[in-house]
Amino acid sequence: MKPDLSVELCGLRLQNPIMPSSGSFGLPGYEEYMDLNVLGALVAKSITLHPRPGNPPPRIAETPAGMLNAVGIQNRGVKWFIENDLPKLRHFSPPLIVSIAGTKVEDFAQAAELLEKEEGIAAYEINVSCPNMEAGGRAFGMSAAATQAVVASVKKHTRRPLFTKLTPNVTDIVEIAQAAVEAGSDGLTLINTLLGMAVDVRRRRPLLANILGGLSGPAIKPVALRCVYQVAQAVKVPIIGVGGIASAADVLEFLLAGASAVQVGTANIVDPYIMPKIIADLEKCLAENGAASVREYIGALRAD
Amino acid sequence: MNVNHTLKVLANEPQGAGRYLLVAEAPGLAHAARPGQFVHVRCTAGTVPLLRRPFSFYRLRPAAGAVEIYYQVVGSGTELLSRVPPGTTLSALGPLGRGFPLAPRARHIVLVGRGLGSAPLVALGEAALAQGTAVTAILSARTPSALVGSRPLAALGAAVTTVTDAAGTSDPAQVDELLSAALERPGTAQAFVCGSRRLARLVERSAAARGIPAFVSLEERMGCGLGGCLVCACRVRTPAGETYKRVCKDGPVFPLEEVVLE
Repeated sequence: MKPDLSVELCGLRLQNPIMPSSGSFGLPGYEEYMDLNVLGALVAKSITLHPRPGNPPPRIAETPAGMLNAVGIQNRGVKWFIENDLPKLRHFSPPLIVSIAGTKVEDFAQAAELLEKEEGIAAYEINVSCPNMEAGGRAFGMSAAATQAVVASVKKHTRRPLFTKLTPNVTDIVEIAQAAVEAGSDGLTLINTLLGMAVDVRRRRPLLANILGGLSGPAIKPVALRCVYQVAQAVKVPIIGVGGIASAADVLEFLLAGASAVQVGTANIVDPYIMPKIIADLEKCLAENGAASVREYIGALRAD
Repeated sequence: MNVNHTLKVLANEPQGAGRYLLVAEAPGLAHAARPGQFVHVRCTAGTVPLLRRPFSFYRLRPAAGAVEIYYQVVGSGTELLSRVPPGTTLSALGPLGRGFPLAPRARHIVLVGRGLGSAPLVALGEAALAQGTAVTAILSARTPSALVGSRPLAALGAAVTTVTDAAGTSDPAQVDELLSAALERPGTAQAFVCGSRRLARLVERSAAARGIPAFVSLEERMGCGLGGCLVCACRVRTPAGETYKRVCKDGPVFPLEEVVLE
């Protein structure tokens, strides 16, 4: 019998636990290259209430087993998304998770209010890694109070499940995770990129025009796995693990650490065909290990 | 459309000054690709370096099922690539991006390139000459050995002029004179420029003054190459004001008047 890859996330039924991370995969766009219906869920690029031009180039720098990006959440705003992207995205069978970003608490709330009226959205992911312009530019997710304020403001406008995507750039991610859950987050996505930088010694300049960027890729997998493990011990809500996942074995590591599903980010940038490959490998891997369901792995890490 | 291909390396020969010519068998790619498009190649199956490297097509040989890539060793990816022996297979995505919009009935076109940026002009020149369009190429470089494409373009039948910093012939005033003469040739339908912002500004001014459509092929650090990650941004003018477009998907070839040349 074929192993069962399906998982449940806050009432969403996923045919498998694999989805792209926000921003790493063209949605819409990549349907031109592959069948998106094989994925567990679709996660769209973060949208903000108003259009954002994004940061000047260079926006990318390579690092050992990773990359830094500073795109700056370039997007055309929530209204454009509703009119242009959503009609294309709602026709795919996997549940659609829409990522919302903002620089003011009220922006998140207003974006959610507009999206809530639209069909074809299964859940939201709240990107609290953007700078909070009402509090000096620190990311919302760096403060339990600011995270709580954003989650609570979005929660007021939706009956759909809410996943808060946390930044690892904090002293204690468990404290922030608990704050998000207390404010009504139905699940958590862990982790966003790690703040980093790279320098061109010859030119004596930073490699990114923005100087600082978000580190992603295999280099951050141990950090992501640690965050998932620590938070899974402390909260009861489902966790979507993300950070350096590029193989079926990586997926199983995150599930064992406590994730119920995973997102693939930088690996999509290197190989856009990697998610279908991971799904096929995952099935093979479970069969070889005599597992009937992928759910057997969730939180099953033996740490004693 | 599946853009997943395998490049089977047939040859990977040094050309001097850290440059290499890679010839690879990839029949699907060779048939589908157009001049000015690019291919996104994994230089290693490992994680260092992690990202693919974008290369323009130097020559397309659909009859032989082969593509040619002319590249320079500039970092760890191209350094690894330079050591790849014939027989190796490499993962490649392609053909990607929008190529040169060569007018099918153009009587004459002008190509302007500098250094390695001249590489995609060879595929364009070949396509133009094959359809009966006359080609004038002005190729610039720091030294004569750094010139790319002059010999193959001349061999194909293009009128080629080379200028170099070493010979003191590449300054804007002298190039502008050559460019003006080329653009003045009757039947000049289009101009194309690659590899230098300074040359692009010259072509923009000179072509616009004569009402000749001009196009530039841009280079930028890339992530996915498919338009998904938005890292390869370039600044463009639109009726609504300046904004960013994606070099990989909206380009790499853009109408010159659209691009903000910084």
